[in-house]
Amino acid sequence: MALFNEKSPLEYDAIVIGTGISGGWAAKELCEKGLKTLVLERGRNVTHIADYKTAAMDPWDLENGGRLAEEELEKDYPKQRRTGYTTRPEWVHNFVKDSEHPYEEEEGTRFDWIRGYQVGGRSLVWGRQSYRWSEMDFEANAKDGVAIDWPIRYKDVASWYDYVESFVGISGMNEGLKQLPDGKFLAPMDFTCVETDLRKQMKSKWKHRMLTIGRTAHITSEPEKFGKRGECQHRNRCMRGCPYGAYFSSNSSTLPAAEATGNMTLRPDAIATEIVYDEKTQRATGVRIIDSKTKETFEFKAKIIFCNASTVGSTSILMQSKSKRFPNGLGNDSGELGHNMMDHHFQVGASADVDGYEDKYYKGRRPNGFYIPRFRNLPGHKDSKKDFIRGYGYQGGASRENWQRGVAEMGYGQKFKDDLFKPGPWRIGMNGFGEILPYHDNKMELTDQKDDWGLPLVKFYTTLRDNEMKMREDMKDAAVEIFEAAGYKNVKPFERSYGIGLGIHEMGTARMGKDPKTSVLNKWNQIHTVKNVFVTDGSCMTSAACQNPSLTYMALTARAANFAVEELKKGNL
Amino acid sequence: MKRRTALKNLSLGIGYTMTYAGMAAFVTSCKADNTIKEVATSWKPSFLDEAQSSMLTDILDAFLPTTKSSPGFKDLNLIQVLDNVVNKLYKKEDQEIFSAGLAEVATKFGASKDLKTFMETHMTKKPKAEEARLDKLLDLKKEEVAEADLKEYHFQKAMNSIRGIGISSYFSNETIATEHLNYDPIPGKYIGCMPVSEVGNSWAL
Ligand SMILES: Cc1cc2nc3c(=O)[nH]c(=O)nc-3n(C[C@H](O)[C@H](O)[C@H](O)COP(=O)(O)OP(=O)(O)OC[C@H]3O[C@@H](n4cnc5c(N)ncnc54)[C@H](O)[C@@H]3O)c2cc1C
Ligand code: SF4
Repeated sequence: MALFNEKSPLEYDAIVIGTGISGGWAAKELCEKGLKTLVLERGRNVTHIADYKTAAMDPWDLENGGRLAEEELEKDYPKQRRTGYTTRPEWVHNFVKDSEHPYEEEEGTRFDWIRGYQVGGRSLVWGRQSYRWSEMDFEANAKDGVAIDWPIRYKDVASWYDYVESFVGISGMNEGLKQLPDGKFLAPMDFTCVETDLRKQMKSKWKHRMLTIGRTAHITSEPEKFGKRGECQHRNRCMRGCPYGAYFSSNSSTLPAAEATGNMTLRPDAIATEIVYDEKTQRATGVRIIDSKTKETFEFKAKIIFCNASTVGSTSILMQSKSKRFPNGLGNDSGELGHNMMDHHFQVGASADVDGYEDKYYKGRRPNGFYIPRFRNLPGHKDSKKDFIRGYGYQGGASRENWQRGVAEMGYGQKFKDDLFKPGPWRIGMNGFGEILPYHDNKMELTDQKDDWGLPLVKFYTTLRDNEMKMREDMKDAAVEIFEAAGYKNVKPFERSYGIGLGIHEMGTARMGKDPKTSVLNKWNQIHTVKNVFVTDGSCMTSAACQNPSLTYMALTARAANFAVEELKKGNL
Repeated sequence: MKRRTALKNLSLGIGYTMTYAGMAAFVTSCKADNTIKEVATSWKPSFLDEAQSSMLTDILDAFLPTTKSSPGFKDLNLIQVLDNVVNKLYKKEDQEIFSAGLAEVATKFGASKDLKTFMETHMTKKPKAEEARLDKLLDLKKEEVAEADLKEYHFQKAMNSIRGIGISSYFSNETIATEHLNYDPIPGKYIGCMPVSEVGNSWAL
């Protein structure tokens, strides 16, 4: 990568803040369109492949049994550990230490801000589930009279979904569903035998409920179209970084494309602290940074700025960018900056035992599961109307138990042990992912407390409300209903503790809208009143739908970047 | 942790839940396998004392004895892993509970005629109501446990750790994983549905 050095200029055509999923896309698009682009990243550099040090390790290669000491977890990762899986030594280096990057939560509430500061951001560790939004998602707020209307519709992003999917490489099946549009897919991953059974059964038993294979950002066919990236080897160690570049990350995909143009300068260890605003031109002139290591400050100039520091990161930067014209944060005439925080609530569903497939097994570790698209409150399907609005989808899997069952079952001795070498019973489970509505009062603020770099700490005020609580009940009941209808045994609902943010789909704090009085960004992700600043990460979202959102951030970013370049050429920026 | 449901849900779902590969890493050996004999003579437990170490080795070997097809717990000298995990990963309070439990294990072990009797008395499934009572007890924090139940609480907690770490360390041991389970670090193609007869044993990862 062309890294920033003493000889690098201080002035560019464009600056991108953040190298995660959305920043990587902004960098690629702007560089490919010929703009000299400075890409700022607060975390360390991560070199594709060379820095995936744990990628080939087997369980016995990991120190201390692949676990961190409880004391270290309590001290350094009290919040990051809330997921239960992000703080394992195999990939914990891709997540922040809470002890270095603290934040506050309003008393009695919780916000799980799970994140990684490094080149690639969370693209390195994301779950790769990739679903389009549909027309009904963009229309939802207007139809329900909730919050404000989206300034765009599906037709505005459809071609951009095509565009990003073709580059990312998404494996999946087209199903012709209104609530989950088809896409440009690579070969789908296989179902397990039990999943095929459930798919068939659902087809015959339910009118609006169906099961498809997860749509996931892995190269499963046509590798020749993806340059240096290779085909997925089904090792399911993706969160450690993929030596084959088989799943989509900024490191494997967008940043190399940006680099190849010769137009990108990457500066890791650069914490963007402020976007500088010029009252005369009513434009931003550049970005101030602190070097995270030396604490030196710099100011870089550019004609356009893409803010892609992730939802909370970008919102914080805008809030920190105060001027006479914008005393409450850049572009915050509406007062909505920091409000309307959303996520997807989950950790509720069901599991069951499945008999009848004892002679079947599988080969490989599929980094994917099945998906049951939303079936509640679909327009025109009155029978599914519930005591809540919007809906949820299920993500799940069916597999055979392994030796771990020996820990759970009481037993010992020769037969007990020899049995544990054999594949165990089939189990199926699924977890709902539900839409959270945009509530003005679910918000983040900056406090007077400062971090090690003198930057204000963020404080969150977020809770689930009535609509979500009712939906959770239904997420549990319908999961049980589906498994029972399929004749599975020992069907058990589960509900585990969830705090907003745990879905790691935080979004909505600088929303798009038609009216500058009620929104921060316009339909091109431009700040209404500072036209050369674009925010295209999750903070732009006006509602949350129930699909994993990153694909939509990618499509919106590519769309906004291409618009920005056109506007620049026209002399409008 | 519930005695029986503890790990059941972990294998379900995708992305957000733990994967098999991740789960297998729960606890592993410290490469004891390659140098068993050498290590066996030179290794000294750091958390356990020699007597505890030998008692737990016997108990875990009763869980996982040598059979015709595979080595046993003792053969692999896996007590090292348990000693290491409790020593390095447990926080102080949990170590204290473990130690108190270990004392109970020793008492019960000493009071039993032999290993077989100990296992039969304490390591077999209890009637349903009794299992439910134990599950409830184990859900409590130490402070919440009634004085009269404390010994039982410590014993069950320690046995859960011993069983959990013991079994996990065995099946994620390199020899067991690569020679006795089905080890395939780079599967290449994924086949979702095939006859189990073409695979044989359970996948190691
Ligand atoms: C374990 C996990 C599983 C997930 N699974 C899925 C999934 O299956 N599907 C899905 O759609 N989404 C998933 N997500 C969410 C997905 O990762 C995020 O939606 C996505 O990464 C957001 O992209 P982003 O560009 O907004 O932010 P990020 O990818 O978080 O990148 C932001 C970058 O900006 C940098 N930055 C922050 N502040 C500053 C600053 N002040 N100056 C300079 N740089 C800064 C950060 O260091 C980071 O590199 C998952 C996330 C996690 C953690
Ligand atoms: S499962 Fe596929 S994408 Fe994930 S690490 Fe393995 S080869 Fe790479």
